[in-house]
Order: sequence, then C-alpha cells, then structure tokens
Amino acid sequence: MNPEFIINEELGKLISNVVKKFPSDKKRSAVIESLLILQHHNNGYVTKNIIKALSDYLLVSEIDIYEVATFYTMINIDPVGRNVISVCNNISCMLRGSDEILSHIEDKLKIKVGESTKDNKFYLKDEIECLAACNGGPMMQVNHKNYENLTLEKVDEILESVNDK
Amino acid sequence: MKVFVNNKEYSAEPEDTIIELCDKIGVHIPRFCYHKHLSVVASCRMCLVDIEGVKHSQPACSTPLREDMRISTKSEKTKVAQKSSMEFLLINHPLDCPICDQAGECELQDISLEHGDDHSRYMQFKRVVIDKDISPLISTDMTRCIHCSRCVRFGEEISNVKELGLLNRGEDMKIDVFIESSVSSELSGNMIDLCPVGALNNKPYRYTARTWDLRQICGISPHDCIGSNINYHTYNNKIVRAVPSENPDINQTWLSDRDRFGYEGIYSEDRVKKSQMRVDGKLVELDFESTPSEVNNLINNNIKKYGKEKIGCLISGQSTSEELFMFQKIFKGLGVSNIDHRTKESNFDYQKNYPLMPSLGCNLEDLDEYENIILIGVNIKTEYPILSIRLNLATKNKTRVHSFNFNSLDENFDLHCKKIIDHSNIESFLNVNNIELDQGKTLIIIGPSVSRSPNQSNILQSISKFSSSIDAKIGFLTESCNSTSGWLLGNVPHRELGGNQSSIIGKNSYQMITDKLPSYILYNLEPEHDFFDKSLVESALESSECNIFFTSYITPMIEKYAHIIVPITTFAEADGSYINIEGTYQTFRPIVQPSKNIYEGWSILNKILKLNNLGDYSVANIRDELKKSLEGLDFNMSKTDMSNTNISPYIENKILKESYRETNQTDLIVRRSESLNQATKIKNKLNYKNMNNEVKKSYIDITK
Ligand code: SF4
Ligand code: FES
Ligand code: FES
Repeated sequence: MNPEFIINEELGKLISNVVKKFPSDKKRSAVIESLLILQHHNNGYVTKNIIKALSDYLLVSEIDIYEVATFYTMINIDPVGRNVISVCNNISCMLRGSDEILSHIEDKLKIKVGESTKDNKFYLKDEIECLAACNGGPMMQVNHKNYENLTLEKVDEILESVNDK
Repeated sequence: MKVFVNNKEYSAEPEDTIIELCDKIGVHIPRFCYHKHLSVVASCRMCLVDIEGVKHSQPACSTPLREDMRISTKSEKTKVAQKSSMEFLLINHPLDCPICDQAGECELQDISLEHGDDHSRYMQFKRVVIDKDISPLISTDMTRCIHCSRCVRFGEEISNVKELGLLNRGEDMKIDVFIESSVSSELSGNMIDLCPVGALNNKPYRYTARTWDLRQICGISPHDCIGSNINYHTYNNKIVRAVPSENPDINQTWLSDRDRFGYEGIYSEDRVKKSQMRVDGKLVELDFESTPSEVNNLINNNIKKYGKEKIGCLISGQSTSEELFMFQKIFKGLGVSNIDHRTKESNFDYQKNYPLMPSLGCNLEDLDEYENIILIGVNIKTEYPILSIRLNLATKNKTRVHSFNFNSLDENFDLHCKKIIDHSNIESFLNVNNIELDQGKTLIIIGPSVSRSPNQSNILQSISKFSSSIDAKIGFLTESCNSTSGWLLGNVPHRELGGNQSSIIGKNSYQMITDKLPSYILYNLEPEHDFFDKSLVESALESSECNIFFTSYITPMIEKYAHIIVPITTFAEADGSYINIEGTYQTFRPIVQPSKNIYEGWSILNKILKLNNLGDYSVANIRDELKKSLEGLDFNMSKTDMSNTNISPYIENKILKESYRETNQTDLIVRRSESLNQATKIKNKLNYKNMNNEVKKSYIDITK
C-alpha cells in the first residue's frame, strides 16, 4: 500500500473501464490510458507515488510503467504549467510558417519549447506531430482546443485570453 | 531437415533458428542481444547473415531454418552487413577500454576487432549518460551501454524481479531503475555476466586486476545445497571475483549473489591465524607442529577423565565430505557416539525413520514435470535463489506451486496458493481439502524451517501421512550445503558411515547442549549463530571444563570459552567435495593456498587419526573409501516412510528461536562478506522506507 497517492473510487472506475478492454492477463496494455487518466487528475504530470499506486492497482511492475511514462512525450514525469500549448511541427504546418509561430511563443513566454513558464501558467509542449488540421496550418492547440490559420497577432490574442486564475 | 551453412550440408531440427544451428555445429556468428536462455528480440542486428535468395541479410537469431536453406556466414554481403551494424553500435560507445574492467573479456571488443572497421567515420558529438549508484554489487558505466536489453530481459524472464528498464526513447534511451529504487534481487549479479560490454560490472572487484592476469579455478558453492559450479578468479593467491561455471544440470549459466560474493568472508578480519591454547586463563599461541599432538592429548585425556559418553562432538554441515568422513572416523573410532551435525535442530524423534540422506527427490531439471509442488517451511527466493529460476520456469510451464511457511513468504515466481501458518498448526492444515491440487504428479519439498521447528518430528510424520494419501513424492532442502554428507557419512548419533544403525545411540545435538557435558569439540561452528539457541550453547560452553574448537574464525564466545583453538581452512583453501541435494558428488581443488599456520581441515584430522592408530589417509584414499561405502546404497526416496515414528510430546515452550533465514546470514562465511552485508543493509533500508512512506520529493533525474 502506498498512502501517499490512493486511486480513489472515481479514478478506480475510470481505470477499470480501461482494464476491461483488454484480456484479463494483459493488464500491461492498460498502462498508457491509465497514466493519461491519472495525469489529467494531477495537473498534467505523474509522480513516483502515482506510478507506485498504479503498479499496485494493475499488478504491473513499477519499472514497466516508468518505461511507458518516459517513452511517450504525452506523459509528463515532471511538473508542468497548467495550460498546455502544442504547436504543430509537421510538414504542412512547417511549410506555412510554424517555426516562426513557435519562436514567437518562445520569445513571448521567455521559455524554450519543452519548458513551463516560471509562474506555471503555460507549458509549451515538445515534439508535436501532425494534429490532423493540415488544411488550417499553421495551427496549435491550447488546452486541447484547435486554433488554425495562425498569425503572430492571433497567437498573442489567444494566449492573452487564457485566464486560469 | 537439410540445410547448408557455408556450402556444407547439415541436418537440422526444424524448430531451430540459424544461430542455434550454428552454435551447435561450431560456426561463429557475432551477437549481442541474443542469449540462449533469454527470449529473442533481434534488436542489435549484429548477427546478420546472408541467405541465398533473400535480398537483405537476415538476423540469424530470429530467422527460423527452412528446408534447403543456404546460409553464408562469411560472404561479402554478410561481412558488409556486420561491419555496418558494428559501426552503428560504436557511434556512441566511449571506447574507454583502457579504464574498463570488461576489457579482455568484452564481447564488444572481440566482435569489433573481428568484424568492425579499423577506423571511425563518425565526427559528431557522442552522447553521455550519467551513472547512478544502483546497487552495492553492480557498478554502472551507462555510456558504454549498447541497449541490447539482456539485463532487462533477465529481470523479466529469469529472476522475475524486474528492476532495470529501458527508459526514454531514441538517443535519450538508457537503462535505469525506477525512481529512487535500486537493484536488490538475490540474483542481480547475473546481469554483470549478461552485459556484453562494460556497462554493468562487478563493483567489489572494480579496478582490482586486469582480466588477462587472472587464474581461473572451478569450485562448488558452499552456501546452499544446490551446489552451483563457480569459477573463482584469483590474482596473487587471492580470490578477486567469482563467475558462474556453466553446468546445465545444476546452475546453468547463473549464480546467486550469495555464491558470487560470499567468498569475501574468507578474508574477514577475524580469521584465526595461529593455534592457541589456554594457559592460566589466557590464550597463548601454539606452534604449528605441536598442535595435533596437543589436541590429541586433550581429547584422550578428556575421554579418560569424563568417560566416552560425556564428550560432545559437533560439526557443521558446511564442512567438506572429507572433513565429515575424518571427523566421525576419529570419534567413532575412539568410541564416542555423541556426534551430530544438526546443530540448528531441537527435536529428533524422527531420526530413526529418516531416509539415508536428505534429497530433493528428483533432479533439478525435472522439477517442471510435476503438476504440483508443495513447499513447506521454505522461502525459495531468499534461501535458495538459484532454485527460484527453475521454479519460475516450472510455474510458467504447468506447475502449480503451493507454499506454506511459518514466518514470511516472498517469492519471485507465481504461487498458486500461499499461506503463513504457525509451525504448530501445520499438521492439522495438511489436508486435501485445504490444498487445491491439479491432476498429476505431486512433489512435497520440506525446507529448513521445518527442521528448525520444535515439533519437527510431528510435522515430518504428518507430511509423510499426507504424502501417501495423495501419492506424492517427498523431497528435502537442507540447512547447509553438505548436510547430505553429514547424514550419509555417519555424523549423526544413531548411524554409522553408509547409514547402518549404530549399536549404541549417542546424544543428539540438543541433548549434548542441554545436558551440559564436561567437554565439547566444535568443528567449523560459530556458537553465536549456528545453534538453535545461543544462550543455551553459551551456558553449556561456560559450564564445560574443556572446549576444543576447530575453526576458521575467532568469535567472542570462542575467545571466551575455548581451551584450544585450531585454525582450519575454509572451502577455498583445501581439497574438498560436497554432495548436493540431488545426490551429485562434486569435488574441488584448493582455489588459493592457505596462510602458513592454518591446517587443511581433513589433514589435521588425519594427523589426529594417525596418532590414535586409527588409520592414515590421503585425499584420494578418503574419496576411494567414500565411494566404496556408498556403493550399492539405495537412495530411492520414494520408500521414505516417516509416518510411524514414535513421538514423545515436545515441550511447547521451547520457542522456535530463529526460523527466518536471511539470505546473507545462512552460514559463517557469507555472514562475513562485506559486499553482501552492504546489500542487505540497503535492501532493508528500502523496505523500511516503503514501510514508513516518508514523504519524498519527486525525484529529479539529472541525466535528462
Ligand atoms: S546495460 Fe549491458 S546488458 Fe543492459 S542493455 Fe546495456 S549493454 Fe545490454
Ligand atoms: S501538419 Fe500540422 S496539423 Fe497536420
Ligand atoms: S543477436 Fe541477432 S539481432 Fe542481436
């Protein structure tokens, strides 16, 4: 048992729905989705204790879960900002100027891609591939919402409109 | 099936892969990720070979054979493919062989010499991975890792304790443990052998010697009754490390950490360096030549003074068969029948019906033929780590393992059913209704916690009854590595050499201690730890008039109560042999020479024997006589029937003092191994931390 993080009833329900999708002896398959659920619940990142709790819950070894958590960039193992910005980097968006958008955001927030702002308001996510909105490139997602045909002004506007206090 | 390798025809098994065939016929194929006991991942691409009719070279480790396949391991195409793989593998490798312990026995070094290019075209930056302290037994140099994942698969498939994992992705990929965790399994040292490069290395041995300066001598594990084969590496007459010696019937290519690092105990500070005798209450040194006659006089005087039945002779089951043979030869020859090696036991009513010697009841490699294995009074993972590998594979096959222990249960293989039961309740528990058996063969394995129980005879009796009711076989796992010889060679009060009943039945170890005899002879025993109850032994030694110790180590009790101390060799410094639990007789030579005032155990016993005109032996003679007396004996355990033993009620308040056997505390040599003690400490700390759940800040990994 690991009293520092307990998978409560609500989370347990969500995770057991994931587990049900796989054969009963293949609980390892449920790791990715379970991690996403737990991460969402914990301000966007998982901790050692969360991994331990999941390991106890699924009966999968801690290191197996840690491998998954470090492999995928969609799972964060370090604290990140509250609002997630993902700027598409893939070919269509790149041809339409996504590099410029990205460096503008970097300058504006005074962080590099992959980092969070000091006040923890924004997290500029790394390694973003095609987000399936190529017709509207350059594009980005802020908190999972798509913004297309970006210009620098539009970016400023969007970021300023984010208000999480 | 017919296949061609380098234009030569071979007949092959259809289920084999190319590499398996080539290993059998002796055609060399370079490899890193492939290992015959691990699953195939085909990730390193070093084993690429050219197959006629296939456009690209194929990995030999994962390509199955097919009829009329034509494989070429030497063609230009193979060479180019292997050279290119080698170039990729070396891109990030630091090439720091001059300061790497692996150099000289490094697979990367050997293969790159043979198959790589002699210069590098890579001009860019190399990656660096920062090392972490993952274990007191394993040093890490993670920049050298080539990501073959052998170490990860070992944890997943063989030891079933997954501690190392492959983290991150692409260039950031690295082998590491879980956050704030460490490698602490009882088999962790095997990852040192598996690692083909110098990424995981032997920490205690670090920077001690270069591999090409070492001498290799094969020995047998003195730490458990499985009898793993060990290659000891020595430098200047000192053991500097130990590696497994492959024996497919016993330890395969594996070794437990206890066997790998246990030898450190022979270099402990408290080794006795010279014979000592008590004169006017003080221990004074005795010279080498006069020791045998002094000891002999003492023994004979005591017999004269107190009578044969007042002498207690106790010997450790860790002694070699040669020592056990000589020991009983002397004392039974002098008419003393109080002789025993079962110093951890306290209840002996069972002894009359006990088999000739304890045995597992089957060969190690046949364990997976049983549908059911019932373990009673043993925790395999910690007490017999090397056996857990077999049981792990058996459970993955078809075997149901049921385990009932008295104090703790923590196994690394799947248990169908487990239960902690008080030793006094086990008799009523053994019942078909309580144990869900599968159809088929059943083996009941009786562990050392049963022998330590104050109601051992009752337990053995009920196990015997239970086994005949379900038609099961019985097997034993013993306290010491050579308890088998202890029984077989007559180091028990009621049997002679070869197992014949004695005419006079002497006192067993418990009676010898509780009856407070006037004279004791202790051979290779540490009174503090090797008895069922330390305080009883202490008062017995205190009240006795004359205690003779043959010992390698001086302990506070020995120092206080000894009248004479004879320094003897450990397993590593003399010829010897052990009989393992399957009944395999294995001999070994001295690995290092003992220092000059220390007696080889069997030879000082022989000197005493000679002084009494009871015979004169050499190692070869002893072994001949051993073989002769064992000829024609029936070791078939299935005839074991301990069900009609007469049992006197045991004394309930005779507390079970020490039934938990900590892995690295099982005998006097491992108890003195620095590195193993360190490992135990760290493991306990980790457990402690988990127990208390101290709030720890999220771990920050500096390598990223
Ligand atoms: S540490 Fe050694 S065994 Fe493990 S992946 Fe790296 S090279 Fe292979
Ligand atoms: S390339 Fe950017 S959304 Fe597809
Ligand atoms: S040994 Fe075949 S790919 Fe590694």
